[in-house]
Amino acid sequence: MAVAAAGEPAVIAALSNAMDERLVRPVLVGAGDRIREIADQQGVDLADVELVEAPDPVAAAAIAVKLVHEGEAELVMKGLVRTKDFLRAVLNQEFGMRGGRPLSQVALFESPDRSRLMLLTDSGINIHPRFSRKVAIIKNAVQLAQALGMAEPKVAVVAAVETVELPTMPASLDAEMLRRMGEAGELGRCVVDGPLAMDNALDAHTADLKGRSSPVAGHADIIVVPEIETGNAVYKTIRYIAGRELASIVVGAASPAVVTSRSDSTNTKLYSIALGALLS
Amino acid sequence: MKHTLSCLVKNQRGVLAQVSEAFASQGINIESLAVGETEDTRVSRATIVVVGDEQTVSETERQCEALDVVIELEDLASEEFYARELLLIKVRVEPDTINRVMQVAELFQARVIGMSDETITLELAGEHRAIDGLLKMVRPLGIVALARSGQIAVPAGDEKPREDHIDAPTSAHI
Repeated sequence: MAVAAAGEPAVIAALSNAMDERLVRPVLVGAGDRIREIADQQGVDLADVELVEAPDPVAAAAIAVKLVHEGEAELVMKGLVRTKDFLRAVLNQEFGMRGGRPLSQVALFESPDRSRLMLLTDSGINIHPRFSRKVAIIKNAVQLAQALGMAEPKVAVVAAVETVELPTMPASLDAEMLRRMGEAGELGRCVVDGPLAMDNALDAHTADLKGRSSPVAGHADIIVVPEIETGNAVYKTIRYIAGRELASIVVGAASPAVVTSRSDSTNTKLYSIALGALLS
Repeated sequence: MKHTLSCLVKNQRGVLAQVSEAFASQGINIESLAVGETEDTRVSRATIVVVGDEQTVSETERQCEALDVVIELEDLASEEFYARELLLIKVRVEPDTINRVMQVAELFQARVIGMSDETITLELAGEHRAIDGLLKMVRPLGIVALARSGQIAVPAGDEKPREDHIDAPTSAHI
């Protein structure tokens, strides 16, 4: 795994854990002196770790992505580099990792009863996705869910209501149209329903009470949010109110990219690396 | 050649018939006509789009200006103006065309104002060319119904002072 701008304490700590778990063999790209200094402070042994010098974070992102492009690495991770600079490298036409689909972020977390894993998308890349982008976001998430063993994932396209409300709630229209596309098999092998309020997506009993019968209600594998504000809030609610760990990954490129936030816990970083390793 | 005429008329009964007659008598077909009150409720602005040769249209403009009910007539081709048209269109949607219809709506920044099992209704206010562009793209998908308001227009820049030609207040008659 190539790590762009690896000179950051939380990244080194997560990588140390990942190496202990034998999840990845990292290639650290960035300012070698700084990386070694952090490793020394944390007592992390870098003797068997490859270091590639880069003059600045943007160059580090380019070098890390090139390593994947050239087959030297199977996975890339963002370190202390701005997300937009990192993604620009991922999407670079010459040396990037374009996969023919728009990029989107998918977060993985445990269901409320901890019996299974659920996916949340998109909480980090697409700000106000248009309809066609939502189609791509769902296809990306379905592909990831299938890679995780969910043969026919159930997709809940959430809105604030269960019916189409125009013109006040355009997300409800998108959800209805996505449901129709899903029903016709246009979104791959999955079961799509929407618009569903979040309570209906998570709890079949609530959906029954509201008279909203749905094969997805209470059984959603994938929660699709209408825009980044909702996605970001749900992600952080899972983390800070529910106290659950998550894993997140950027998909749509030729290879997955681990893009964690500085505020993510060490465990979330570790799980994200594990998810990336599993998919690459 | 297409001409966009901005015609200020008295807001009273029979005005449209007189103006239309002036064009009809010269054999000019009115492509679109939109009328509404102005900032002065005694005055209406008619935006008339016609196609005709320069000479015939000029002659018709003179005839219109001679009408007692016409306060002012400008051929907007000779100056900068802002023109907009409203389109309401109902497009057929099938599961395999939903994405295309929505993409076209997004491309032209049309609003979805309604939907049913078989159709989506879009609203677009914009320049004539944008309306035509959207129509061209959705036509292959299946237009179930459409309505165009006809163009409305105002000259750009400051308004010229105009004499008060209105003798007495009237209620809306057009």
